[in-house]
Amino acid sequence: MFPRLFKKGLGHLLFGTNLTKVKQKLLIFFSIGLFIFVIDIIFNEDSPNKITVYESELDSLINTWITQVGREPTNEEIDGIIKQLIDEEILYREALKLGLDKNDIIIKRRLAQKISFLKQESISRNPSEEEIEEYYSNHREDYFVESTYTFSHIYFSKDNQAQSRSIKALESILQGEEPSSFGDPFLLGKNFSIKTSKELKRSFGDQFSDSIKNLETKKWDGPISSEYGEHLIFLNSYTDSYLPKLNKVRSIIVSDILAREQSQSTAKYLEELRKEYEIEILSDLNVQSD
Amino acid sequence: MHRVLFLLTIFFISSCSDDSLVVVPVKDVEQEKIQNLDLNPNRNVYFGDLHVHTKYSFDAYILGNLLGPDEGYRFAKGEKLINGFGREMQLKEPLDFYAITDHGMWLGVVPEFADPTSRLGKLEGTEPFHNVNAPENFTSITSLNRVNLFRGDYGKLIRTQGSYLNMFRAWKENNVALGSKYFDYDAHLSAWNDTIKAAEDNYEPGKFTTFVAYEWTVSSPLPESASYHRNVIFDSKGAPKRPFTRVDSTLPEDLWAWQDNLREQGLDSLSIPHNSNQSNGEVFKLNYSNGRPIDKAYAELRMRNEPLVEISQIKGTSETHPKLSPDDEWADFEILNTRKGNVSQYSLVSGSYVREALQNGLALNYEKRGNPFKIGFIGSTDTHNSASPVDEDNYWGGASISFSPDNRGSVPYGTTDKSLSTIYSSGNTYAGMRGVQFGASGIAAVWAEQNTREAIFAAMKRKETYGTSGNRIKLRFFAGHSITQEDLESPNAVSVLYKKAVPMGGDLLKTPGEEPSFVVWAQKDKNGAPLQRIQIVKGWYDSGWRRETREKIYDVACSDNLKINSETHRCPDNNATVDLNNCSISTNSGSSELKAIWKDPDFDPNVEAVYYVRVLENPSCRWTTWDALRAGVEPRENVPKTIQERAWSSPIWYQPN
Repeated sequence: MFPRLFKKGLGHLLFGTNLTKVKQKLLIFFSIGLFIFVIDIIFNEDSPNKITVYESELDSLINTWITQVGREPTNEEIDGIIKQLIDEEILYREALKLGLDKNDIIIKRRLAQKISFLKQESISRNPSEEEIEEYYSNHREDYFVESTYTFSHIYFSKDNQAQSRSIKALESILQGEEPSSFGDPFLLGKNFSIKTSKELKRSFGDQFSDSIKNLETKKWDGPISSEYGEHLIFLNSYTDSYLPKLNKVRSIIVSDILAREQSQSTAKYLEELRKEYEIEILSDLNVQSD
Repeated sequence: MHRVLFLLTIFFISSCSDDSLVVVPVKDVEQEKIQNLDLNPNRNVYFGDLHVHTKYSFDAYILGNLLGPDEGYRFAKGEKLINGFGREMQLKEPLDFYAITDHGMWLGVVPEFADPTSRLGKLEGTEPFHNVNAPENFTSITSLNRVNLFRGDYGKLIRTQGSYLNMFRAWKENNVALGSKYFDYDAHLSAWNDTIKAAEDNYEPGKFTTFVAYEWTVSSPLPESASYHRNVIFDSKGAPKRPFTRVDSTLPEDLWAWQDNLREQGLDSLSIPHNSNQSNGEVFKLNYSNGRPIDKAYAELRMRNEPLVEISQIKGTSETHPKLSPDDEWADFEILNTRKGNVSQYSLVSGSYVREALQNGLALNYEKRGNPFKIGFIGSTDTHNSASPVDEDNYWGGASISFSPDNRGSVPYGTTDKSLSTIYSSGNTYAGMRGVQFGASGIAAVWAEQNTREAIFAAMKRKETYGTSGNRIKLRFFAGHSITQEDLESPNAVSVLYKKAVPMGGDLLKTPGEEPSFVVWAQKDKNGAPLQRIQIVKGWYDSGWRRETREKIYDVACSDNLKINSETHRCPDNNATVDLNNCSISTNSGSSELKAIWKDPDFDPNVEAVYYVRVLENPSCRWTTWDALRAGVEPRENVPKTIQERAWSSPIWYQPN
C-alpha cells in the first residue's frame, strides 16, 4: 500500500501528472540546453578576449572629437581614435580581471556620482506660473541688478587747490567754456562706461561712489571728492539698481527651481535609501572600553 | 600566454602616446559675450594672484588644506573661506583674476595615500599619511607632526619603483610617474580635470578671469636643494591632457621645449619662475643645464616661453639683495635667502635676484649672446591655503597650519593658543624664525583693455605688468622721445602717452639727437598707506675698462612737494611715522598721487640700458607687529616692526641699435 501510494500518490502530488511523462519532458529540455551550450562554445571560442567596436560607439567618439577640434578627423586620426578605444578596453578588462575595481575609492566615487547624475536627469518639467511667482518673490535678492554709471570726469589733484579750482572750472563750463581745457590728467583715464558702485569704490574710494548717486545726468555737475582729489562729472547715463521684471528672468528662475528640486530629490533619494541600510560605525574607542 | 602576446602586439602597433602632448580644448566661452564687452584702449589695471595651491598640492594637503580649486576661485571673487583649523579667510576687496597652480607632480594623488581604503592607501608605506586630515588631526598639537610627512615620507614613497607592468606602461606612454608604485593616474587626471573645470566654471568675461595653470616644481637633489620652480599658465585655447612635471624632466630647457610643442598645436603658455631668491643661483645662472655657456638660441628659447618673473611672494622678495646692491638703501626688504628644501643653508646670492639678472642680460647681449633675461615683473602669493594672504593686518600665513600667531612665530607658543602652553610652559619659546620671515605678499597687476583671458594673457606676453608687495598701488610707466610737460598735464594724458611713448615692458628705440623722457605716475592703494616716493632703477653694462654691470637708483618724485637733492638723487625724509602702540600711521605726510617726467642725467645714447620703477609707500606695521599687538605682547625681537610696501614696474629697455 505504501509503495503504491509513493509511486502514484507522491508523483501526483508533486507534479500533478505521471512521473514518466515528466522525465521525458525534462530530458528534452536538458538536451536542447546542451545543444545550445555546445553551439555557443563552438562559435564563441574566444569570446572572453574578443573586443567588438560598434559603429554607434565609434560615431559618438568621432562626434565628440569634431566638437572639440572643430573639423572632421582624417583617416589616420580615426585610426588613432579606434586604437585608443581598443587600448582602453583592453586595459579596462585586464584591470577587472585583476580585481582592481574592488575597493578603489575613485571608482567608488565615480559610480556614486553617476547614479546621482542619473537621478538628477530624471527631472524635467515645466514649473507652473504660481510656482515661478512664488519662487521669485522668495528669492528677490538673487535677481537684483546693480546700478551702473557711464560718465566722463574732470579731475583736480589734491596737491593743487582741488576744491577752489574745480568750483571755478564748473562755473566757466556752465557758462559755455570748453570742458577739455580744465583739470589734471587722471591715471585711469577720462571716460568710464557701465561701472557698478563696487567697481567705482575700488577705483575712486567709498566717498566717490556714494556721492555720484546724487548727481544729475547729461550735465556737468559736482565737484565730488575721491581719494585723489575733486572731480567734475558729466553723467552720461545711469541705470538704477533694480529688481528685473519676472518676464526678464523667467528662464533663469525656471532653471533655478529645477536645480533646487534636483538637489532636493537627490537628497530625498539618498534619505530613502538610507532607510534600507543598516549602518554600523566601528570605533576603536568602543573596543577599548570593553 | 596568448593574451600577453596579444597585448604586447597592440602596445607596439599603437604609436607611443604621450598625454602631456595632447591638447584638450576647453569649453568655449561664447565669443559674442566677449565682443559685447567694453574695450578700453587706454587700458584698465587689474589685480590678481597667479600662484595659488589647493588641496591637490601634496604639501598643502598634508599641511591641512581641504579647500579645492573651486573654493579658491570663489575666495578671489570675495567669498569667505574657513580653513581646516577654523581660520576665516576673506579679502578686503575681491581680485580681478586668479590662477590655481597646484604642484604638477603627484597632483591629487596624496589624498589617496591618506585614505586607508584606497588602492594606494592599502600599500605598505602609506601608513604615516592615513587619515592625516581626519577631524582629530586639526589641533595645534597634532598639526606639529604634519611637517615631517612631506619632508621625509613623501619623497621616499614617490621614488619607489612599481611592477614591470608599471614600468612598461610608463615607457610606452612616455609618462615616468606611471612607473612608480605609489602613483595613481586616475586620481591624478581626476584632480587635473577638476582644476580645469573650476577654471571654466568661475570664468566670467568682463568681471573675473581664471587661467588653467600648474606649478612645475623642480629642485636639485639634497643636500644642494636649489629650487627653480616655475608656474605654467595656459591661454584660452585649452589645456594639456596632463601636466608636464618634474617627474618628466628636471631641466628647464625641456619644459620650454614642451611649451614650444604645445604652441605649435595652438596652445600658448607662459612659465613664470618664482623664489629665485631661494634658488642658490639656479634661476638666473649663465649656463645651460649641462654647463655649456648660454647663447642666442638659449635666449630665444627662454624668452619665447618665459617673459615674466614673480618678483615678490610669501617666501620673500627677489628684487635684489643688500650684498648685490650696497648703494640701495631699500634693498634689505623681505629677504629670505635660505634654500627651499634645506632651510639651514643659505642660497647663493649671485644668480638669485632679478635686478642682477636684468644687468647680466645686457652684458650677454653686448657679447652677442642674446638677452635671456628681458623679463617683466608680477607679484603673487604662493599661498598653500587656496586663499591669498596679502594684507598685513589680515594675515593667515602661507599654509593652513599657520592659522595662529603662535604657529606663525609672531608670538610665543601658548600666547593665543592655550593648548600649546601645556608643552611650552616658559612663555617665551617661539616657532622657528623662518615663519616670521614669510611676508604678506604679493599681487600681480596687469594693464589690459578688458578683463578677459585673451586681453590679460596678451598683456602678460608684452610684459605690461607690475608686481606689488601685497597692496594695490596703481602705477603707469612710459618712455618716449618727444613727451612734454604739457602732454603730462593734458586731461587726455593717458591716450597721448599711448600714442607717443612705449608702456612698461616695451623697447624704446634710439632716435638720433633725441634723449628719452620717462613718465612715472602712481596712485595710492585706497586701503594702504600714502605714497612716499617714486624711484627709477637703471641698469647697464659698462664695456669700458671696468667691464662690469652697473646700477643706479634715482628718486624721481617726492611726496609732500619735497624737492629732490640733485647731488644724491634722493628725496628728503618726509618724516612719516608709525605708532607701534596701535599701528596708526601719520596722516600729515605722504601723497595720494605722485607723477613726474624724468630724464636720465647720465644718459649715453650708445649704451643699452634697462629702467624700471619702484614706488614706496610710507611705512606701516608689518603683520608680525599686528599679531603681537592683538595678542597683547611685544613684537618679536630681530624682526622688522614696520614695512614699506612697494610696487615694481616691468622695465623698459633702451635699445641703441
